[in-house]
Amino acid sequence: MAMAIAEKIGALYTRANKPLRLSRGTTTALIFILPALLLFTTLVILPMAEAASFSFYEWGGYGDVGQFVGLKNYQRMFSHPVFSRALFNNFLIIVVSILVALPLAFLLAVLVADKFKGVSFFRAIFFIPYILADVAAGLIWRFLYDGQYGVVQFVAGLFGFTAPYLLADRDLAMYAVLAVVVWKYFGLHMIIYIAGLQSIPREVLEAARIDGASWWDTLIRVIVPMMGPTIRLTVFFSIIGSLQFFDLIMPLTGGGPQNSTQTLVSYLYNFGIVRLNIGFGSAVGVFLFLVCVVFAFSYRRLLMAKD
Amino acid sequence: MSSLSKFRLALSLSAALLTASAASAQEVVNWVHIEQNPDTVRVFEEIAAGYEALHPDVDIKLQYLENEAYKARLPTMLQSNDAPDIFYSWGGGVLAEQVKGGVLRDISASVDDAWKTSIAPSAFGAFTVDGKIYGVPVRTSLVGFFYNKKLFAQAGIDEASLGTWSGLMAAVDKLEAAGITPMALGGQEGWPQHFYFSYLAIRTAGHEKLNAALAGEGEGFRDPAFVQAFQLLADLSAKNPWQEGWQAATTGDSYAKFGNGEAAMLLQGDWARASTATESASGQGLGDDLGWFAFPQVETGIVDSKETFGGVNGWIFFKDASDAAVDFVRYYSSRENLIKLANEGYQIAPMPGMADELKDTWQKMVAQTIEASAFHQNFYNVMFSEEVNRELLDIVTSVVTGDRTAEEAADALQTAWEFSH
Repeated sequence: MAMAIAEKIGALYTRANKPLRLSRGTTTALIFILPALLLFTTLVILPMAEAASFSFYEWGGYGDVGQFVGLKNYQRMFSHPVFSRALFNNFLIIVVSILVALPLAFLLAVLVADKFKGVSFFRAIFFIPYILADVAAGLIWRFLYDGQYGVVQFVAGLFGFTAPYLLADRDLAMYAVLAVVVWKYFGLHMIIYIAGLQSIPREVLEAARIDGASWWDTLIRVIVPMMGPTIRLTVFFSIIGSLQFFDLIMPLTGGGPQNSTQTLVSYLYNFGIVRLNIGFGSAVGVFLFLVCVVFAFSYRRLLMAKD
Repeated sequence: MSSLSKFRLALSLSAALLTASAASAQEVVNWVHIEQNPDTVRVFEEIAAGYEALHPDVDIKLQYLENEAYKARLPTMLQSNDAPDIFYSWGGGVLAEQVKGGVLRDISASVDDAWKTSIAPSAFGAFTVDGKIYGVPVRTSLVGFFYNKKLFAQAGIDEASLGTWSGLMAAVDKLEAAGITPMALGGQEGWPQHFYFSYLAIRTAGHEKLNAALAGEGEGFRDPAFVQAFQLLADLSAKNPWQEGWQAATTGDSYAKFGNGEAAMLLQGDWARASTATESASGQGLGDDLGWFAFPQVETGIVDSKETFGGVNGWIFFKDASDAAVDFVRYYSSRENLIKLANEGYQIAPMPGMADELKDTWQKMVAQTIEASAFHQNFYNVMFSEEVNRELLDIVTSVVTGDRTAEEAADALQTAWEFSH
């Protein structure tokens, strides 16, 4: 292992020491890259660097950047109970996405991957929640959860009991949000799985059937392993999506009651932008950015390298 | 085409271009407002058109932003090239921050005595920072209890008993005994429950103690008078007088609840009167059953408090705003226009003799109350920076839910205030 790394570094070293001589192709490539590079630098890199620098200041957003405070914003953030709560909520969303939404999507994908009468109807039905704008979906669920007029209350009434005001109860509100998360996003994963399932060669499945494999055995021993790359991709999407979760929260709960449903991004919005505490908000942004980058790179390196 | 006629065509074309650019060389004044009421917006437009008719070289452009969106977007807008010239302000802590950030125009030189006295000079105080005037007060509001006469009769409540806090507490008990929800509350946004705390603090501490706390004097918000205000709110909350699910209810939901006759009281600003009808299921609201009483006196607080509570709003100016922008607001705040705004746009201005000009008897009552007030306190939360403002709302909510005692709440508020200074 150590030997291999040393060799690699050695290779890099010799390459770096070669005199710089651009071939015709490289020069052309550089000229073509230049506009994109300029755009990327001015529109992505510079604003990010600026936001990162704000995180070391106490600044209300008006006028010039305020007072340099070093790491104070980060200290405040890590010692803030609402921040911990938001982090925990993001973790909950990831867990529920992976343990509930993805298996559900996989199961439904297996059911509707084959062509039968009415299959496109079912696919559409399952996919509709994903098409819906997040804000619209949030508002719709706000009505559904309403303790007085909501459908949830109506259904509970049919079974002879009263449902609590889900979104008004800080112990329950997050679970209500999680249910919406599953409902909203399983359709996307289902469509990705269907595409994956359809790319499995027919012969393999036929061979399994001829060998006498049961439906369950085929699923576990043939389909799931062959779907590896697709599953890893959907897990990746779920985690990144969960970390950025915001649009649904705002119309649904706004992070309340009493900050019980804040996520990292809604926390950034409520405690950075709304409270005109741009420096603090930037610190949260930097944290979120680092989490996303570290996750994205390590995940792709470790689990998706061969895909 | 001969070369001569080509030349003529070119000449006339360039002449046309020149005149076109001369016509568009108007001075544009961008005016950002947060008004949702179409009647009020119509009056705004009429005032703008009136000014443009007098000054053809000025073009007033109205832009609407929703309340919360406006607050969040304003700092960015003021950094950009399309910064508005005239925009809405609640005075207080955010105004002070804007002044500190150097984004506002000091209009002290333009505000002469004639202008100052045409509106109430004291109202200009809400837009004065370190002796410099930054805004023009054009609107004031009053917070009080709306109530449902029918539900009160049903519970056997004598309206004369509502002058005192203990009378109000007894009324809550009676309503609950009659199976009626005593109060509607839009708890999600936080500021409606803060009205209870603020008005109680006015009755127990008064504006002098608030100003002392804001100046960092004495015990600040740990003063027993503020602890008492939190305690009275905790006592009321212990009766759980709000509708079920109040924590997730928006202000609009609370207007609907009250307007539908499903809750007996609503502590809100005078602006809510129309909304309790428009938000109700029938669209009619309570009609003749709608009543109003002033926030009760607290027997254990300041004796016979004459202070009232409500907002003071005005127009402030971006640092690069032109003289035309200031001149337009001067025109806007003329007696004639402010009366028109009050009668047709439901915005009462802090103007001497306003009550006499109002046609609607209820609006007249509101204006008279404010005029008779010993001190009209601006909203507590806007007196702070935006950060302490939101912290205060969270603290008040935690008292209402019973998660903080009165002492803890007062301590948390003082800590939050100290932290931001």
